[in-house]
This record gives sequence, structure tokens and C-alpha cells, in this order.
Amino acid sequence: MVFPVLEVPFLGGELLMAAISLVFVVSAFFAVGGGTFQVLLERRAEREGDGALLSFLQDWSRFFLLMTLVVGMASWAGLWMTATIVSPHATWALLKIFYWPFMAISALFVVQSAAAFLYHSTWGSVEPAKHLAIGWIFAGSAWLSLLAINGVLTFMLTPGDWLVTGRLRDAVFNPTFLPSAIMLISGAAGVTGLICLVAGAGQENAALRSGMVKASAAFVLPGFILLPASAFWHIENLPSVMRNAVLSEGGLATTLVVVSLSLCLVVLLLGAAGPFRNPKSPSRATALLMLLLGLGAVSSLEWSRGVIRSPYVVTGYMYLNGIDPRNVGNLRQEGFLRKARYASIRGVGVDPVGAGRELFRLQCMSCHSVDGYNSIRRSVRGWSRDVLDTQLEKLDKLRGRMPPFAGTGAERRALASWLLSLSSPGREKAGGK
Amino acid sequence: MSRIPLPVALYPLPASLDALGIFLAVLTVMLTVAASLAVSWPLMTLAAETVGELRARTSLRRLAVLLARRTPGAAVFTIALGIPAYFTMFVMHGEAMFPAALRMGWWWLAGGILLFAGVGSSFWVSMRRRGTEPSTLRPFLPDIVESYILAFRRRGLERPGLVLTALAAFSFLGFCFLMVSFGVLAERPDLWGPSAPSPDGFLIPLSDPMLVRRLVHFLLGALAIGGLATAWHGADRLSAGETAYGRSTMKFGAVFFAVPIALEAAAGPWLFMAEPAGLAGRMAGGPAGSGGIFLWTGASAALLAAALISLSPTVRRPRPLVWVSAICTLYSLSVMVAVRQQVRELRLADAIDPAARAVSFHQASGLVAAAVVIAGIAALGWMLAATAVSSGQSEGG
Repeated sequence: MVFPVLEVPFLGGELLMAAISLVFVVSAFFAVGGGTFQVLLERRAEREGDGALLSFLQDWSRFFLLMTLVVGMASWAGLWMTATIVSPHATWALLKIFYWPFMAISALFVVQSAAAFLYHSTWGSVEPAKHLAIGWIFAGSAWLSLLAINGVLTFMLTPGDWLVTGRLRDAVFNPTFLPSAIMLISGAAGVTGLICLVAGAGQENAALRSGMVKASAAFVLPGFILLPASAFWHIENLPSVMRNAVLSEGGLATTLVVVSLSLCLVVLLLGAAGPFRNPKSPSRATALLMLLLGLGAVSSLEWSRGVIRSPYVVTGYMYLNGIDPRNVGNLRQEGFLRKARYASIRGVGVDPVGAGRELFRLQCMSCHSVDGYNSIRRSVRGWSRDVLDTQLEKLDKLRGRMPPFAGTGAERRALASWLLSLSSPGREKAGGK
Repeated sequence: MSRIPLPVALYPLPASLDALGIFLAVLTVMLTVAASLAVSWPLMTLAAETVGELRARTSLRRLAVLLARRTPGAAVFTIALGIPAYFTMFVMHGEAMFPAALRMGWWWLAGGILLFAGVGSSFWVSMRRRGTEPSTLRPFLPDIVESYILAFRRRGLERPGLVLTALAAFSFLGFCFLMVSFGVLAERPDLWGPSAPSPDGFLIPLSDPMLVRRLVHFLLGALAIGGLATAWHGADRLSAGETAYGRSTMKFGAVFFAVPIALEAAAGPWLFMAEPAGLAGRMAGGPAGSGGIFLWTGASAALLAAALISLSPTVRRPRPLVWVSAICTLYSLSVMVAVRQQVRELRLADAIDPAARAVSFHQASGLVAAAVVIAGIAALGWMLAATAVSSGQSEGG
């Protein structure tokens, strides 16, 4: 542990990070899918001389600008600002390992930003072919940046040969790179199609409305068919421990995947029974419901990736609390508080409860809060000292997806004392069981 | 999964510190230009609108529209360029940057909210100035909201969204304050180091004499860069034959450039005096050498630029003067960035573990990144060339 820890009450760091990531993922999906959607439709409108569609696309490009440049760019900044606070160890490691890919992504974002502004502001003032080319530059750079970000995301889950070779090529093109790329592309197409459906359903012009619904079907149907298929392919490429967590353990990961796949099916059924069957008079309520369900499907799947990665932030390389797995043995012998650079208490000494509180802060608060999200008080309610001590001793085995406790026996007992004070206040002083 | 290359803290740097330093300097110069425009243009919009209204000067009100419409671009490019600068600085000096960010954690996170508020409100103002703002969302809104929005739009453009412009200005100023605070804090190992008190996430180094001085230095520089860009635009319009608007805009820009630069002549030394004595001595011509040369030539270039810009509204063909001023300003900015980096290196020299300076340069990925940057520059160049005619027209309109 080379960095201090900031306590995030109630929400916990994990939930804060998840919330910002979700906003960024949705806007990134929309940037990738929506960028392609608008140029494809513009090309069709130009070919067919469809003025109503061109006028709609002009409005759409303004909404697109807001979603990608305001929500997208601000959430991209927010994501890194939050990661710095919540997972400093992982952020530093990822920045060092993927420095050059991140520089390439940043260059692509600069190009995307310029293209989005120019695409929006030059409707009717440059030749259609040039306008379309600007749209394609946006779409192309959005696709490339999504693929590069996919390399980082999948590396965290399945670093593959990188753990042995340390080569960047192995880190990016890891075992789940391809299935995950298809999954993200499907999600981008699906989410964009649903946003387009909501926009189309609100149009007054009947021909435009019908055309928009048909265009949205061309994104929604393949997107939500490919999403479950690529999810299964992705699961197939996971290491066996992770695959079992999804397929046979029946825990949160399984639930999330089942929810996601069910929502995909519901979106497809709703679409087939409603707007796609009758594109002339789509219900805006149904379109909105489909959008919400689609976002639920995509976010559940993304959430499940975080769940199956536990207890690691980078599988095999770093635990969620920033501890290097290779150091656990040393820390158990030499003591965590003595080694942690930013510990405010250097040993168990005369205040084991205080030391236990400090151990919780440094080792557990990356996932747990005391009383809020993933509350530790609720988790240990009614537990005795013996149960607490046993759980801590075999944390990685008994509790499934948790890192091992990294500290001496005295430190473990100190943490148990502090947890006991939460479990049943007053008992830790009496030393009762 | 049995073998792990290196412990986290010792994972090698992606390039040598010198190479990363040069890269960071280039990024910081570009970032400073974008951030300066994002900070100064909302303030200049308010000034142009107010003076234009009070003195019934149409040219200034037209300039206010242009500045409001250009602010979102500056804001977006501030983020787009700021993030790679953040990556580089945190990669180089993670031992200092992460603890500093954690010590001021809640303020650091508030920076994200301020950024969102600033970018969002600047976009809204820009769209309002074009008369197109709420219809963007109409397809997504229920009828009752839509009718409200239509009523809102009928109020017309005589209400230019000054409250939102002020919100954008306030948000960007707040964000700058936090980033300057972070910069000051990161150079104070005594405040973020292990011996400092446990973080509550609300630390702002208010008692550090550098904080106010660096903030004033940055804000004056930001106003000057905003003024220079405005004067440039004025010179451009003047050469396109728009005499009244061009002259008025040049004068407005020249005031915003020359006055802050004149104040910088006092603010710069005031900032320098707050550096620790030994360090200031080294920078001003001691063993560090180049720092002193940088400081003197940079300050001279800025003063020369201010003099030229002050003259430019009075001459018949001001463009060459504006060009020379811009080059002098760019030089001044670049050397100030280099000096800031030298100071940071010196102040952090004892706090960084030398073992963390091992390098493992990934040649192939570095080349791929370079190829992407070159392709990106080519794409930007092509897009700007393809749309040059239309942008000239829209500025005139």
C-alpha cells in the first residue's frame, strides 16, 4: 500500500465508480453507434433527396453533440478523477502499462471533438460529400477509441500471457478482447437504435416517423441478438474460476447475466410486437420502456464483469484493495501496519480496536462502507469473535470473492475486535465471545 | 498467472522522465491555451455584452455572441487535452500526485461537477445565442415540457443567457482554483506525505503563499490569451473589410491582452519571491541555469507582445503585428511551462523513490500512438481546410 485511503461514506468507492462508469459507457455507446447512425442516414437522405430526414438529422446532430461532448467528455474526465481517488494503485498501474494506448485514445478524442463540432456546424454550408466525410471521421475515430478502451477493460479481467511476458501486445490482445469487442459493438448498436426509436416515435411527419423506426430496427435487432451471443462467447473465454462463477455458482454474477439476457429478449419481443411491427404509429411509451430495459441489459452485463473480476482489480496482478498478491505472505509475517506507507497506527499495541479500524480503512474500504453500500456492520451483525477471526483467517476461501487478509495474527485479531464492536457494541472491551 | 512482472509501485515508466517531461510540456502548452480561452471567454462575453449594452455598441454585442458561441469548443478541448496531460503527470510523479489528490479528495471530485456545470452551461448559452437550444431535446420530452420550452424560446434573443454565462465563468474559475490548489499541494510533500495527518479529503493549502500568487498568475495569463485570440479575430475581420467591427474587436482584445500582461510584470516576480529561497536562487541563474534564461526571455517576450498588440489597433495593416505578438506569447508561455516543470522536479526531487524511475519503453506501441497522432493531425487539417470557407462566412454573419 503506497497511497492513503479516502473514506467515501454511505456510497462507498465502488458504487461511486460504478455510477460514473455507467454514464460514460452509455455516452460512449451512443458516440460510437450514433456517429455511424447519423452518417448512414445522411447518406440515404442525400441519395433520396429526403428534406424532412435531413432536417431531422440536423436536430439530431445537436442532441448528439450534447450527449458526446458534454455528457461524454465530462464523464470521461469524471471517470479518471474518481478512479484517482477510489483506486489509486490500480489507476497508476493502468496508466503506466497502457500509457501509449491512452495517448492514442486521447488523440482520437481530440479528433472526435473537432469532427463533432464541424459536423454539427457545417450543415448546408459545405458540400454533402465533405460533410459526410467529416461524419465518417467522427465515426471511425469513435470505433477505434472503443476498441482501444476495450483492450484496457478486458485486460483487467483476463490479462492472459501479460502476467508472464509483461508485453503490451499480450495485455491488449488478451483472451477476451475479441468477444468483448463484439459485445461492446452490439451494445453500442442496440442503445443507439433505442435512442433513435424514442426520437423517431415523437416525430409528427408520418413518413419520417416510419423511416426512423425502420432505421432503429436495423440497429436494435442485430444489437440485441448479438449481445447475448457475444456474452456467451465472452464467458466461454474466461478462466474456469470465472466461468463457473457465472454458469454454476448462482451468485450475483449469474443473476446479472440472467437479468441482462432476459432484458435483451424482452426488448426484442417488445420491439417485434410493437413499433417494428407497426412502424407508422409507434407508441412513445413503449419506445421509452424499451430504452430503459435496453440500458438495464447493457449495464447489468457490464456490472457482471466487475463482479466476476473480484477479488482482483487486475486479475492475478492486484487485489481490489491495491495489494500485490505476491506480498500477502510477507505482510502476514512482517505486519501490514508496519509496512503500509500511509497507516496512521503502526502496530496493534495497546489499542487493538483503533488498529482494527485502521486495518479496515486500508484493506476493506475500497469495497465496503461501514453503514452504507456493502455495509460491513450489516454483514457481521450477530457474529462472535471466533466466527469473525475464522472468517478473516480464511477470507479468500470462505467468503468466495474476497482478497485474503494481509496481516499478522495480532492484526487479524485487532480487526476482529473492531468488527465485534460493530457487531455488538461493548463486547470487544469485555473480550466476550 | 503464477509470475507477476513487478510490484505496482515499481512498474516501469513507459518512457524516460526526460522524454515524458518534453511530452508533458507540449501538452501543457496546448492545454493552457484551451483552458485560458475557456476561463477568459465567458468573462469577456459578460464584459462585451455589458459594455455593448451600456454604450449601445453593436460591434461589442456581436463580439459577445461570437465569444459565447466559441466557448464550448475551448471547454471541450480543455478536457480533451487535459486528460493526456493528467495521464503524463500522474505517470511521471504518481508518488506525489495520487496522495495530493486524495488529501483534497472531495474538492478533487467537486472539480468534476464544476467541469460538467461549466461545459453544460457554455453549450446551452451557445445554442441559445444561435436560437436553437431546447428543440434539441424535443423528440425526447413529454408534451407539457415541450410547450414550456416553446414558450421559453419565444422570449427571443434579447435575453442572451447572461446568468448561464456567469455560471460557466464561475464554474471554470472554480475548477481552475481547485487545479491550482492541487498543483501547489502536490509540490508540498509535508502536506501529502505519510507524516501528514490522515486525509479527510478537504485539504486546500490556503496558508501556502504560492496558492493566491499562482492563481493570480494563471488568471492574468488566461485573460491575456483570451485577449490575444480576440485581437487576432479582430485583425482577421479587419482584413476581410469589416472595418468598424474589426477595429472595435481589436481594441477590446488589445485591452484584455495588454493590461493583464502589464499586471503580470508585477505578479510574476511576486510569485517567484514565494518560492523557497534556495530554489529561487537556482532558478534565477544559479546551477539550474536555463531556468533563469527562460524566465528573463519569457518575460521580455510577453512585454514585447503587449507593446505590439497595444499598437495594432492604430495601424492600417495590423495582422503582422498580431502574428508577431502571438509568436512572442507562445514562446513566453512555453518557457513559463518549462520553468514550472523544473520547479516541480526540484521540489519533488527528495520525495520520489529513485527505484520507481526504471524505464521500459514499448517501442511498437509508442510508434502506434505516434501514427495515431499524425493521422489525427492530418484529419484535423483536412477538416479545417474543408470547412474553412463556411467558418469565414459564419464569422461574418
